[in-house]
Amino acid sequence: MQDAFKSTALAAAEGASDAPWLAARRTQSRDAFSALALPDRKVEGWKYNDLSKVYGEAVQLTSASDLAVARELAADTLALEAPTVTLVDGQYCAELSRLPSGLNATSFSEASAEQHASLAQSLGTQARADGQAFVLLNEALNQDGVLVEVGSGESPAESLHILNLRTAAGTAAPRVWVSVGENAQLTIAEHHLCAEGVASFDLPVSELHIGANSTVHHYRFALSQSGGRHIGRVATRQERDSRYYAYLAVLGGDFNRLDFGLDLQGQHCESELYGLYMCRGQEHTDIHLAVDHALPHCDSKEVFRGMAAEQGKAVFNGRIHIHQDAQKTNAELSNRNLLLSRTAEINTKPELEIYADDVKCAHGATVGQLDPEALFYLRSRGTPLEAAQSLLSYGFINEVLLAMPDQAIAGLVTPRVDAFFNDLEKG
Amino acid sequence: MSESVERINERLASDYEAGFVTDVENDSLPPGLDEDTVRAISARKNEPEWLLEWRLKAFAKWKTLTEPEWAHVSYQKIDFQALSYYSAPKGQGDGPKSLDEVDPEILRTYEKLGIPLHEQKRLAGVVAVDVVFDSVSIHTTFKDKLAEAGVIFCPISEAVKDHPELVKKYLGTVVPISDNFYACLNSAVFSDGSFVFIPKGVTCPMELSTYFRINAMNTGQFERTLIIAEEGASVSYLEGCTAPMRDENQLHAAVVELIALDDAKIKYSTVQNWYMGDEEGRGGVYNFVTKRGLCKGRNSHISWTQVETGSAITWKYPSVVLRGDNSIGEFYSVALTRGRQQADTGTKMIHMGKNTRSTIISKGISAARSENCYRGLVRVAPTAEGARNFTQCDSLLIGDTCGAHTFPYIESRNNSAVIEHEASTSKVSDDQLFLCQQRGLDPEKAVSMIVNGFCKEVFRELPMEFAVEAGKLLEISLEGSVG
Repeated sequence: MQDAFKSTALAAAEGASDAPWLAARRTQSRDAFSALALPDRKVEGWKYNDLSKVYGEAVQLTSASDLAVARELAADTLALEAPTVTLVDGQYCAELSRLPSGLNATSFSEASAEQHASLAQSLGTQARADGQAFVLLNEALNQDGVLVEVGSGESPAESLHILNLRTAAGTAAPRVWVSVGENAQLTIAEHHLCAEGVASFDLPVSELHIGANSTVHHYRFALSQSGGRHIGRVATRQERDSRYYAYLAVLGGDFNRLDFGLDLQGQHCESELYGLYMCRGQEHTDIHLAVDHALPHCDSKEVFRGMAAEQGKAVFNGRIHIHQDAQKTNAELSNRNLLLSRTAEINTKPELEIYADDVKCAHGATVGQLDPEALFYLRSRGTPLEAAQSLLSYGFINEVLLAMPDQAIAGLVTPRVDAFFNDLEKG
Repeated sequence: MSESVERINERLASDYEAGFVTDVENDSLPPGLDEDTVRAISARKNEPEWLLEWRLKAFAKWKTLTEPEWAHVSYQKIDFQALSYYSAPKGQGDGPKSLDEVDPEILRTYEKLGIPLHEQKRLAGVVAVDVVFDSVSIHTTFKDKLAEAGVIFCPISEAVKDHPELVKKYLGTVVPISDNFYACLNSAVFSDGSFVFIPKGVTCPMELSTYFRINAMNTGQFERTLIIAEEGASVSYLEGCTAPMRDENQLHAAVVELIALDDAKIKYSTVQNWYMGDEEGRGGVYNFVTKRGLCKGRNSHISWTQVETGSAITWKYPSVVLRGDNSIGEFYSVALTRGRQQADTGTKMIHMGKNTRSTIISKGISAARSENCYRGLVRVAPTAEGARNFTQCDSLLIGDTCGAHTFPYIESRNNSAVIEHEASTSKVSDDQLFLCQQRGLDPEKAVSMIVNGFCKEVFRELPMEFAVEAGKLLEISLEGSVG
């Protein structure tokens, strides 16, 4: 199965972007991918993943996009009237984009030769560190991407949205490169949206580089309807005194995998990651988090909430690595999960790997169900069971939803959360 | 602070008191492992045909397995053909009939280690001891007294002859021969170990204890322990280990199986102090052990307590399979690593029965250039209605050249189960030290007190004598730690 997948992937790579500035890297990645053994359950990081959902179908780049569907998908985000760069099935879509004035954001295809030259240098420097097969595949299949540059001292007032829309079956491998200079600020929201019933295969890779003393708020929502498969990678690197806040949500889609890497490469960095994942039906969601503390005096905090209902299967792996030099580190990770049905499954593994002694590190993980006493309390006051359940469930995930400082952006997730509970109530 | 850390580590590198070699003639098999080795071991022990077949089956399976590499340890691959798989003090091949037949040299060894075998010398006489020297069991004390209560406590080689039906019924039922690489190797070449059978309704009248000693060079010790507690029975079992100081690595690949039927209780405590190798990491024992208990009956209870201070590499995950409804599994562990020791240890709690409960308390202390790693699995099967787990892993780091890691796996497939895991990492804080010193404690005592407090939850689970021994072991290791 893997061989067939690989050969179709290599064939599909022939049809990827022919931009000359990317050619060398593409060939290199394709060769590396071709030489690499694809992961399976025997590989520790993939042990809970049933990759037959991925390998079972041939890789084929999406050719015919449906613009009407794309318009519908983009409507809510565009209604925010914020600068937006939109890719439809991996290709830049000018019609649904609203390029910003005060901030330098553009698609790879529209970028200047100068930008191409710098991209060719920087792409992959963060995401590829561990030679992941799917990052290499992204590079081999990449057709277009989004480049965001915030110069030193700049702090655009508006938040920037990147839309990655899927309207037709097939594979897309979009790429995002965000570079933030020193003393700058940016709020960026990545939306990965897939229309109902579209058997899409998404391989997005985002890299963020945050300069000294800058602040970045990063929202990343992967919201798909039935049928979608999504293997994503985010790699963020922070320089000294920078602050990074990420808010993740993964809902829907047959198969979701997100590898989120945070690299603290300067002193006095501060990072907070909030994540929410919910799956039901036959859905599978796997979030792999890796936080790397390389230098002293950094603080990181990770808060993840997960839910699995019906036959849903959720996997969480949160790894904090403290290097020998990273003294005076504070790191805490909390992962709590709710199992909402007898047939759902949750696997979690919070990991600590510590090589420095003067640090404070803690992690906590729980798997359980709604507190029966709290349910009883609500019911004894006249709240129907279903309503009481969703009330308590909301309380459970609000720790993540309410952490998002821009509630207008958070408002793009809440309807999906509502729908999740409504569908459950209907059975 | 760095100066004091250096001094801690200096002290930690202190002498290994059990590191002497006993000079007795050995009857060893030549190094090498093939089917003939397995047959030779079996023949020397006059084993029945079924056991030989069992061994050969295991050996055939072992040849198809590869060494596991997932643990967070690194070492030079073991050359399994360079090891000797059987070593017995000469003339002891079939086990001595009485204490008079035991080589006085060996008796002196155990006296040096503080384990007097002469029953009359025991003051209180509360502990029955089975002693294993290299590959054979030397002597079991208090056999008669135990027999009165109906308890069988003897070397497993003896049990094979005297109680074949029991051994046949239970051997390999908890750790099947194909379980893992080392367990499979053990199944093929195991030499001796203890066998305990507590019949229905009997509370074992005294603590049972086994003392393991590797003496001969280039040998592997592969003991096999099997403990069965029938309905309503209960037993507390202790295990201690030492080895001489040698430049080569010695392999210790034991298998321990516990079976608890309805309402039975087994408490298994280990103080492991194998030779850990020198400062540069030369020599020391590779402790690759498979320990697993099966709570087979309703309301059964298995509890593991371990204090791990020795071995160059520890690879050990005492586990409990909670099959009976309302059964309870417990794991209490203190692991201290120093020098260049590497420990990858933890537990597995497999919840299958309804209302099963498990508790995991793990304390890791790492110093010098050592690596200390907790690796645990809590699995709740769909059948485990109302299962409950609580896990707490704390690590203490001394110095910035060591590592402390936590890899807990949590797998839940039942929505009525509640699983909690928490872990923390810290060091002996300057504030704590200051507070103690301000109240007149010298720094050495202060550190010892803080570390003892850190481990207290585990120590109080140990039987009295062992708790004292464990406390002392830590004290010796940390003496003169701050300055």
